[in-house]
Amino acid sequence: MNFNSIEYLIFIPALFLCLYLAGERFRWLVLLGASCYFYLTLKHLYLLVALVGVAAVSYACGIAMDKCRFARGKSALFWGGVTANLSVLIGMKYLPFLERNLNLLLGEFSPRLSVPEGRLLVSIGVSYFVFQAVSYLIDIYLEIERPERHFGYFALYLAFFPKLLQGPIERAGDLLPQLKSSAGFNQESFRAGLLQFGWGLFKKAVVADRLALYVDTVYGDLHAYSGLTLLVATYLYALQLYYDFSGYTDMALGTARMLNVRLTQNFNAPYLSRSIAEFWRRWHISFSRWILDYIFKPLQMQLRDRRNFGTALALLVTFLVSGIWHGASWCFVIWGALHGIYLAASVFYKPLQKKIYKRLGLEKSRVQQVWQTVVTFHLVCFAWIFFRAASVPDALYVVRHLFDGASGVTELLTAHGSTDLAIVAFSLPVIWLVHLARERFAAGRDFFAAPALLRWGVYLGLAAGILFFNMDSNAGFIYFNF
Amino acid sequence: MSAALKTVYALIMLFAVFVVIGGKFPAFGRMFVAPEPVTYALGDQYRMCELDRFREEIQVVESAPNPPLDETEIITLGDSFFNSALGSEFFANELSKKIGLKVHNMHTSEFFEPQSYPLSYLEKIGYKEGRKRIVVLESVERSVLERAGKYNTLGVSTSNKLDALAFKVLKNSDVEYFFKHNLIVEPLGRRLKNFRFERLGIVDKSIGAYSTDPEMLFYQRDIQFSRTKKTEAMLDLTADSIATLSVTLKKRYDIDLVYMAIPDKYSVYRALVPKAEEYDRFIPRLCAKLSQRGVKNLDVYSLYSRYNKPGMPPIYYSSDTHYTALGKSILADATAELIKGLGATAGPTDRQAASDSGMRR
Repeated sequence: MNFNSIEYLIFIPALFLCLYLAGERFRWLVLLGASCYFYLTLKHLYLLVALVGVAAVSYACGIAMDKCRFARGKSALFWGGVTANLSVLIGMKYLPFLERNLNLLLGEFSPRLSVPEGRLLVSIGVSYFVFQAVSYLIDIYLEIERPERHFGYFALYLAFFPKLLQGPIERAGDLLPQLKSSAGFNQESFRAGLLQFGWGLFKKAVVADRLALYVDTVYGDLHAYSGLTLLVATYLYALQLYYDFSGYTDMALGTARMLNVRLTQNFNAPYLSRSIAEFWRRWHISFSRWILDYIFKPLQMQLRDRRNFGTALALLVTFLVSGIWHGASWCFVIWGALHGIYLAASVFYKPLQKKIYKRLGLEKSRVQQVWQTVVTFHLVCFAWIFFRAASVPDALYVVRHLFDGASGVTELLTAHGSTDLAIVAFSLPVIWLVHLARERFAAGRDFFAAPALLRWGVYLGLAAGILFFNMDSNAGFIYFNF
Repeated sequence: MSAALKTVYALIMLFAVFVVIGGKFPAFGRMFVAPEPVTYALGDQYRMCELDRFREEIQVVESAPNPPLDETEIITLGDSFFNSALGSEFFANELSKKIGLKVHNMHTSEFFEPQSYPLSYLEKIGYKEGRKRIVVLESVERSVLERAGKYNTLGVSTSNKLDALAFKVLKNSDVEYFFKHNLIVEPLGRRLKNFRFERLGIVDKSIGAYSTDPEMLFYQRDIQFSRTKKTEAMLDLTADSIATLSVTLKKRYDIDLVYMAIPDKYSVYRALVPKAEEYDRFIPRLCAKLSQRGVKNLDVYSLYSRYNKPGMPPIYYSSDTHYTALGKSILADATAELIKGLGATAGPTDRQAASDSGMRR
């Protein structure tokens, strides 16, 4: 069930009715049931089986670790739990990829050598709940958190439907207390959530899906295009991906807020970042925090004797894992490696960079800020080529032909008529203005204290924007694939 | 919270329940949905966009019963083109009239369209080799590459039983349909769509292009397929796969294959769309490769091109993906000619007799 589907528009009020009828005592049960139903609507029963399996193993290991008095036993339980959870992820998402590549390797030695290739399973949401389960086990093992004793609440922590398919990746310490609190319906939360949901829907249905028209035209038939057209399509993809994913996140956060639960903010104007490190503090924030806390920091500690080399190596490994997490394909591995290389290089380059800016007299100047933002954006866009292309040869084709002339851009931009182009051109500054307004006025409560005329103007404008300009596409979200 | 707001919330929740019940219990739902036309159908592309300007009432013809397989030596197998009764009877019935022989249409209404994959389908129905037969296999142009890739894999149509069960239980298309078409939402939705079209030029995304003189809607997937580059290597692979299917059908079931790809409406009428790219001649190129491999086939694109002249009646409906009665009739004539050329005659024939009469390649 997509957030931008009619099914979902029916599901939410029906859920509120069930919550109202069930009362506070059974709130967790209704939310858990709704989450399971939500997951089942993907029509792959094994996904729910995997979710229940991961929940059961993590719950049991968490409690057993807490009770265990021996360090070795605790360690064994911890590693057992982590291995079991990661096995689910690897089995569902990576096994066919590993088998395919192993067969390629074995084929080099003898054509007779091969391993049977398994069926590629749909794994929507698996990498998110597995990462949450792993973070839960680590937090229990390090005694940062106490284990949850109520299986229902723990299962709900993993399965809570607004963040089940595409995150944010929540920590038990942040989410579980909210799910357990008896705070029921709250009018202020509800309307703030509804507004955020509407805003996310606008970004997805009006902007991202419209940008997809142009991006898919080029990336669907790459070899028919070259030069500036490829460059423009790549820029548009950067915008499409951002509005698609941040639109989804707004809808997820909005839904949760309607239910009086606050999830982690996942985006903060990432394309305004002045370095790749800053980009990762603003893009998919919950995921960045996860890999920073659970992969980078322990690795850096292990390699601390090697000083900068150790840090660079830890960054490289962390972002390789990040690439692999996004999908079982060499394109994602290269995408992750590129970000790893950017960050590792910056460890060495940063002192030199400071000196250069100082010598040029640009330190902390507006020019420096703009330059750094432009460079960072282009580095990110370059990596997106590998993220979007269907295969490594396709991505390399784009890279090789990025600067082969300027023909075809006008045809691309006018291929879908002037209305779509005008809507995109009008929407982007609107989104930008809303971002500025949210930053300046801290949105939320301030907005709801604004005069009724302004508030209703925004509500009606948003509703009209969605009704009149949406793409009618009910298209899935890009990050579902990860 | 004010009483008015509470009332609004209560009404929204009740409406959601009403939609779920209306969708899941058709007997209840039908009371709140505008009745479906009985004597005519509305085009599938019109249903996608609901633009009044393109609305046309298409006659649905009741087809004569499908003759049992045992009584026939000609079988048709294909997608919605072979199972459309718009304007005239099913293609099998039309072919039967032209050729003077009974023609059995292999069809199932199952979602996974097994009828598009002959080997899987024949295995599924437990077909045994007996009488020599001819199978006329059809695929719409946009699905040719995808389907050909699966022709020689058995079981493509069968899905995991548990998943199929989950699909049946959890499918919410009925609820979605009821939401869109109930007496409250449907008029508002249609007005909104028409307003968006008339004032802003926005049409549903599933409609990739349209023309207003004459009125004609084009399916987005057709346009997408048309713009996808089809290399010679891709066509070779496709032709190889169809040729392998042909050999397997002969060996395993003593069935001769006649293959045809029906052009997308966009392929035939693209000249109506401003700035439309030139046709890449996908069907004629594929047919040439099939002939090289000895597979009997019909180049329906070239056939239809002869009838696509100014002043001639249309071969496709303006608001539907499928051919008109004229398009079906032209195809049935050409198929009948081809089959007659293969030597199909009334009455039973055994393998030897068929072989003697030149039915084998």
